[in-house]
Amino acid sequence: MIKRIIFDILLLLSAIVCPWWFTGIFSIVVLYYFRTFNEIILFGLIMDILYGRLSATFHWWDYKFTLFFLILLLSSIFIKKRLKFYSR
Amino acid sequence: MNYLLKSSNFEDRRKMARRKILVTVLILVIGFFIINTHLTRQILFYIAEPIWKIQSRISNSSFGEYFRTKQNIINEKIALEQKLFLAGDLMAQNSVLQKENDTLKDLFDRKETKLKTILASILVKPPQTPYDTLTVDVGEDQQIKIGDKVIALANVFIGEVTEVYSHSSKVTLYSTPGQKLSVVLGDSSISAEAEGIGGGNFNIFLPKEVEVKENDVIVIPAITSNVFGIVEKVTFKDKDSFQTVLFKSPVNIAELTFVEIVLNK
Repeated sequence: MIKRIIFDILLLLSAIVCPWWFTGIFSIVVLYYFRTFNEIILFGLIMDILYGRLSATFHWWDYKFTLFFLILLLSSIFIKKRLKFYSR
Repeated sequence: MNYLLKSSNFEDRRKMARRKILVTVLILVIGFFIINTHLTRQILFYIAEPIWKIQSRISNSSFGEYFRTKQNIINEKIALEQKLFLAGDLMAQNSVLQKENDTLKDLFDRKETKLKTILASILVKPPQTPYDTLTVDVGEDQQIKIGDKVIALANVFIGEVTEVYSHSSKVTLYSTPGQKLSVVLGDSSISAEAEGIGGGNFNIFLPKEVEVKENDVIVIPAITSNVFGIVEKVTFKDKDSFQTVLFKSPVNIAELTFVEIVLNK
């Protein structure tokens, strides 16, 4: 549990300080390390709020990170089930 | 032949999995609406602001200068001297033209009003973010309001303030995909609508008959002419009746450290 909290804090710091591509790579590592890491979508939403533009109407392109992390999460679930050596 | 009957255990697991997915989707939807409120945004910016300010101070400090070689500094000094010489020449020309412009405006009784601006330091900019937005270190504390225009390099309009927090604001650049703006193009002063396509780039669709050349200047219609962009490329197909004018802002956002925000009266 402590490990998870540390990774959550690191991911939040990465979202605030580091370039978006670094956070993207880091999130892939975290998704591999933990069996389930559903809060990753929350980080996507945080990044969209911090950097995206606020518009009156809903556009999917204003939530690029949320969508990106959602796709990452779903594909990680799919891939992990099929990996023979993945035993976490 | 015998087949294994589906056990009730299997059904239970399926039900559980469905329930899990439903709960996750529900949490996501509720979380989306909770986190998207203005209060949550303010809290997030309250947490992020000090970190961005520290990061900005570190990246703007001269610590890295201690590790540069002598030859490197000499080369840069020569290059800067050459640039300064060219800039001085341009400045002299600019002041002459400005005086002439002022005299002509006085003759026609069109006094130019000086804009009241406030200097802001950029905390977050592309490429740290893939969005065409900037976060600056002034907010409600400096009377910044939504809709205030933002200029860079003294006279180039680059965007507008779209979100204001207590000590910071978010600026949406005109080059944001889908953002539209009225501009005046070239020597013949053709009015057109420019559309942002991201990364400081824009495009304009014009009839093929309109003559547009590369390096033509694009300005925002106003009594004060401020350069908004420079035409990079003009493309068209023989069968089309329209041409696409691609232009770029003269400001490189990635290199900017400060901007000015024009305060609305």
